[in-house]
Amino acid sequence: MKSFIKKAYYFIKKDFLIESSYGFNIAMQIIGILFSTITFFFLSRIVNLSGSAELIKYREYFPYVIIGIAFSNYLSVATRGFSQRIRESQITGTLESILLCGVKPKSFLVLSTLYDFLFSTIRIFVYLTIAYFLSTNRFHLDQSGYAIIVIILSILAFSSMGVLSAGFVLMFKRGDPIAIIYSALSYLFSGVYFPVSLLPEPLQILSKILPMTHSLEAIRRSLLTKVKIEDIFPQITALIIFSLIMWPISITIFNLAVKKAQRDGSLSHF
Amino acid sequence: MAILEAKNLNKRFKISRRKIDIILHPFKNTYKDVLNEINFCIDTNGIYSLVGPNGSGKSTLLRILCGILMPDTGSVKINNSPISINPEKVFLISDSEKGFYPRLSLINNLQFFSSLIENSKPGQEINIESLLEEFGLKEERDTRFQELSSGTRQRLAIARAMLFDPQIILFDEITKGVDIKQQQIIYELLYRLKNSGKTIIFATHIMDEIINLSDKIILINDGRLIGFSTYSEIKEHIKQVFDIK
Repeated sequence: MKSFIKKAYYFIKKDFLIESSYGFNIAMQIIGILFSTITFFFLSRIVNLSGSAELIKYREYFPYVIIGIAFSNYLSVATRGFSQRIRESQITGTLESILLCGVKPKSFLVLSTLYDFLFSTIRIFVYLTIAYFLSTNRFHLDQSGYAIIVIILSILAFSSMGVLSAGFVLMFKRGDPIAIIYSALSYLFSGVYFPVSLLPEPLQILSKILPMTHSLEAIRRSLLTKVKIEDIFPQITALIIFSLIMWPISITIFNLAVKKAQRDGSLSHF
Repeated sequence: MAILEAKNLNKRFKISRRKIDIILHPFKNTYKDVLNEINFCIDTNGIYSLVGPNGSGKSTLLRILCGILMPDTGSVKINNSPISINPEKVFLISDSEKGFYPRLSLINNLQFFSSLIENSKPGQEINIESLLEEFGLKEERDTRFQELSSGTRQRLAIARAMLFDPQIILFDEITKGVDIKQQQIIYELLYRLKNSGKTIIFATHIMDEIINLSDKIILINDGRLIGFSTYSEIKEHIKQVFDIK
């Protein structure tokens, strides 16, 4: 455990040093958040809440959409981050160097995305802080604990797709359809920008099998309405079931991809 | 006890095909034998050169010896144990132009890789500063990897390997792209490593390195082991393999 924490610290430090070596990179990302938040603040003034019963529940569109955008950061990191890090390290040749140092491929996946998750958490914090001060609707900060439970379960659920996608990149290098299709479906059908209830009936069924739908609903209910933990049990259960089904599949496929790459010598090919 | 034993190593790779062939014969794959029944055993520490023409299977053999590539059949044993049990005993130094983070400084790269050491024994804590001193890297400790010369990169790659204190160090083209002065520095480093009890295997086709550096030569051609002996005993085979009159 001590060894893992040490590695995690150096992986995060390494990624921070690399990111911060690109001049204004980090500052520009934070400024980008500021601009998009303000854009949605003004846009929310023309959104008619009466169009959806689901929106009326949250009283205001602005915090609804900001939570959608902010937490979709985790979706993006979890589904694309793993495969992006694998690909980057294949190109720089560091994947092979790190594996030669005795790091297991699965550990590499986890360690190499820690910085992305950490930076996403900072981005989300910035989004929510701006939304907190601009919104007329009070946030239920006393229920933040519920939101944290949902976030942990969401990251686990989303990451299962990311590991699957990383396996695909190891085998086929480019054009990963898993991350692209899964992200596109999640952004469109899981209520990031608008309530799922506005979708036609068959698409609402599709939205139910996407973990992002349950994740966003539970986080919004935790932060924007008064709830008890039992009220978000259905969403928590859905996220757990998704993880229980997807993780064994993802790990099996990733292990097969690593074995194949070690057999055909393509671990460092790109 | 054998330090390193390669037994019945075979490896073949699938050959990429033209798109039209894939369409016409989707299930017919063609393969190239890269290694064919390679057997050798190293029982004393020293400097061994792995010699063979381009495409003879040198790099593939090195990658199998360090455990990053799996052979189709056969096994590699280090101190009589499978390589999978003691992967930290062997370290491969391949293309030193890659394998580091270009935008990190030399010292940050070394610190990062030192954090990957799994179980450092008590009293064996790594002193990166003394490693910088030993490998003549102190002056460039804060220079980004992408700004380092080829010779410095090669010395950094050796310093990184030493962080893990491996028993066997494998080099794939040790002096590729390095000037004469840097070559001499690297050769001296190799002797120092040998004298400290390490076993070194380096792939090369440079005659000077074969004659002057090697205690023994592992000669391969077309994936087959042609000989494993001293230069004086094997020089005729080397001439044949490289077609030298």
